[in-house]
Amino acid sequence: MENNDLHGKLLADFHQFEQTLNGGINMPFQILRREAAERFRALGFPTIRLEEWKYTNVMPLIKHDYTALPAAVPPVDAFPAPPDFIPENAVKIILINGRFSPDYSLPDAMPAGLGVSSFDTTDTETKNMIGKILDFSDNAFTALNTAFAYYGAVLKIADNANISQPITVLNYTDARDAAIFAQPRLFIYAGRNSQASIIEYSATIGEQPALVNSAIEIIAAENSSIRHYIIQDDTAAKITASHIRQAAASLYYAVTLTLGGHFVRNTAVAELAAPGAEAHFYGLALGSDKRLIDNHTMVDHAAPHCQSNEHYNHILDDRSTAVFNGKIYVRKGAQKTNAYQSNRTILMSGSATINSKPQLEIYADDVKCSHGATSGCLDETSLFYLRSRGISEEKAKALLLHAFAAEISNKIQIGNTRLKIDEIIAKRLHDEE
Amino acid sequence: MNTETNILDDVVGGEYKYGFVSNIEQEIAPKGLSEDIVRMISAKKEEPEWMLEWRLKAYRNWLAMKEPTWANVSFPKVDFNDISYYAAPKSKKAAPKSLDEIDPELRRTFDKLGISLIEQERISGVAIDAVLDSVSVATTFKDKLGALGIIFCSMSEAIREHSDIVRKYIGSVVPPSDNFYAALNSAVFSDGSFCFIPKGVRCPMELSTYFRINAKDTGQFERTLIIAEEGAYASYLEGCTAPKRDENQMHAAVVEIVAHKNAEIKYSTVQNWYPGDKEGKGGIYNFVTKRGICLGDNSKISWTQVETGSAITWKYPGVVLKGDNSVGEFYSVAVTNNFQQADTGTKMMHIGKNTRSRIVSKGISAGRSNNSYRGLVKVNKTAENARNFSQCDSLLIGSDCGAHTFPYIESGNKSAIVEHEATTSKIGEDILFYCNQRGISTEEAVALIVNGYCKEVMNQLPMEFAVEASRLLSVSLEGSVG
Repeated sequence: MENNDLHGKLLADFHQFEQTLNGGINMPFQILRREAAERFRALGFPTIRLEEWKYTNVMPLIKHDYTALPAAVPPVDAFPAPPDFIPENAVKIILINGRFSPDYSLPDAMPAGLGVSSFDTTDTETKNMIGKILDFSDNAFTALNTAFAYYGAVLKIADNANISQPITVLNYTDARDAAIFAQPRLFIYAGRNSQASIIEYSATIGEQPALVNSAIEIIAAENSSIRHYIIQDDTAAKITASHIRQAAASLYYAVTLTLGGHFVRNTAVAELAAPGAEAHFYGLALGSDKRLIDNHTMVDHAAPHCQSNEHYNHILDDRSTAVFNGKIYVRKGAQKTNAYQSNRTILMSGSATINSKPQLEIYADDVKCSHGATSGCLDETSLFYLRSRGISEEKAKALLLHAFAAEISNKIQIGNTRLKIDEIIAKRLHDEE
Repeated sequence: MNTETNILDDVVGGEYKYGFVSNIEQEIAPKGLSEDIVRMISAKKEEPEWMLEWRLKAYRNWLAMKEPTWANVSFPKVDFNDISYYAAPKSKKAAPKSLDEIDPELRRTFDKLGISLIEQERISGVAIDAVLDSVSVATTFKDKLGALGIIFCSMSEAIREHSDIVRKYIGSVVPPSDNFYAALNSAVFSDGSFCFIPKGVRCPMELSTYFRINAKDTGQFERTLIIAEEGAYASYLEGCTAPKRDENQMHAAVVEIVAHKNAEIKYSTVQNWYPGDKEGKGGIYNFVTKRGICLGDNSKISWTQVETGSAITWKYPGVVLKGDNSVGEFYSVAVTNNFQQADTGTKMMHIGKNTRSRIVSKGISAGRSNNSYRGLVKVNKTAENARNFSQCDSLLIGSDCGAHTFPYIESGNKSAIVEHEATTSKIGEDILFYCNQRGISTEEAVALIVNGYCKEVMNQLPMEFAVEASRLLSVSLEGSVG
């Protein structure tokens, strides 16, 4: 299904990429890559005729003449320094143009219990886990990422390790000379009883079109807990996919803050595979101009006694559009499931649009599941309350919006990061002293 | 307490009551669908040329269309050439002038269904149009309604005698190209009810159509058109049953409603097509397109449905809120048991200013059934101050059933407020325990809770239907409790 020039070009790029992998051509991962490329060939880029892409048109995005194989990887100092919400003591994992750059990444003192490697240098046991849970059968972008996944980064958190320093994954893209289609890839394994926080941030330099198509796999072993903060404020278009497989009593806690970017599509899947697992998804999207922010989440309750909680807030101004598609899927036998989901949107402009589709698909009876979705403007009575106390209309609006955004940003559990992010949000919403 | 016990008696003994077959001499068209069949149906109905052309156009459209597959239901592919598209009781050629002339066997059929046509004539209250297989067999109270200028008759009669009105409105709400089943219906629809309430008239009685499938291997394709002119009001009831058969039968209806300025139409359905047996064998495939349009300002359309029958239900009664200040409502109780599958919900399209819509959907799944709510609330840029509230609750009885919610919310106006909430759970053990503790058995308690759970919707039904509907509820859940 060749629906576009880029489609053919990327497949040609893949062929070229394959040639460079001398010797490794029959390795298991290479076989997976080839399958993924084949899948991408068959799927083509998604069109709005597909239910999953109904409100998100990627066609304007893929008309550029991207390369998936940039000629040179610039040094890290070509890129701006990490923003100040990233703690100074953070372990920094740097990917440039989608490729893990170990030279820049490893800190002087690696915290005990954290192992960082790349797809080709990691141990065989880990190699065999990579690519197993992120399904690319019906997502062309995930297939594409898998096909080009080579210098992916691997994070291994040892059993019983409590990594107190946040691990920051920085994705840098260089679009100075040519249009680039980067495919960063990450694999995280959290050992039993381990704890870690991960901050993801990306930045792009240059004026050429950039499309960052990232994918993450996380395997959370028994009783582990992962806190995952995704801060999206990039000039590049972003398509992300993540899949978390959770063992018994594990916790996955994700906060996605989409503050910038003209096109963002996030697809997150949490698979609660054993009893006692718990997943939390929090999301905030600030839309302005003609931006499109699309969050697709799926919580797959595959085992009994699991819990999930999801809360997404949108503030949409100008001609921005947000899409929320949240699915709670309770499999047969997943009794005693508690699942909650909420999606709230404030439309600030007559030209902003929200397309929300909260879904429940439930095949077990002893469950408590609910979802709620609302869309509207700021509450008149709250505004009046503030106005009657002598607060200007502008300030009152800003206060209310800030409070609405803070419902999500307050979920960040790293103190300094939370404060700095809150400052950024306040600035964007004009709620400053 | 007594009522609950009665409900339980029904529960214990309550199988599908309307599964009998009447031995009425019938005229059935050969199986299969072609332009000739469409021509034949049109000729049988003595339709004007434009109607035939309209049907043929729909048929050609249909040929190019594909069956929708997005619904959360699964069933073997229907062979559309293995269905007979027309079946009619073979009675006297001339239509009966009065009810006394109706074939006694026919009359008995409707008596058995509890729709005594003669009785209805005597006790005023509900005017009925009775449709057996493909044709309307009787319409009561025509004269009385006629005096007020209300036209209430079968669709085929309307096409012949009120051609202008039909031509103006048919396909205006559900165009023949709307979807696969609507196109099929437009090509082969055989009968249905037509109702026209003139300006300023408040219809004094409930209008009702009773649909009955009787013949074997046939499909029923009825088409209903209701028009309320400025300031008019009508309340319309629809009921349906079918015999028990091992084969699946197809029912693809279209209902169109037009409400002009200040008009109000209330449409209530108790859908009780044969749901198939405990093993999931047989039952009706119910693929229905129902849509109303609030054309004028301040108009209102309200859908109330109690869905207990059918092996597969695919039905989304919607309202296009075009007039300013217009109101759309959707109240639904959908009960599925055994192997039934229901994918039902509504579409509310807000176009006019200050339009309001309210959706209350209660799903109950038991046995191995699957019950989905699928709905769309769309607020256009033009719909200033639009307001929607949706509530979709699902109740699960038993661990092998499924309950699903697929709401779509598309809002493009900042002054619009859209709210949606949905819950899914089983009947709380604490509530059952509370009842047990007070000497109410588990079965009785479930009946009590289910009735309470559906009350918000049941209250919307006209008296005549409310009793039947709440009884149906318990029957449908037979054997699923405890």
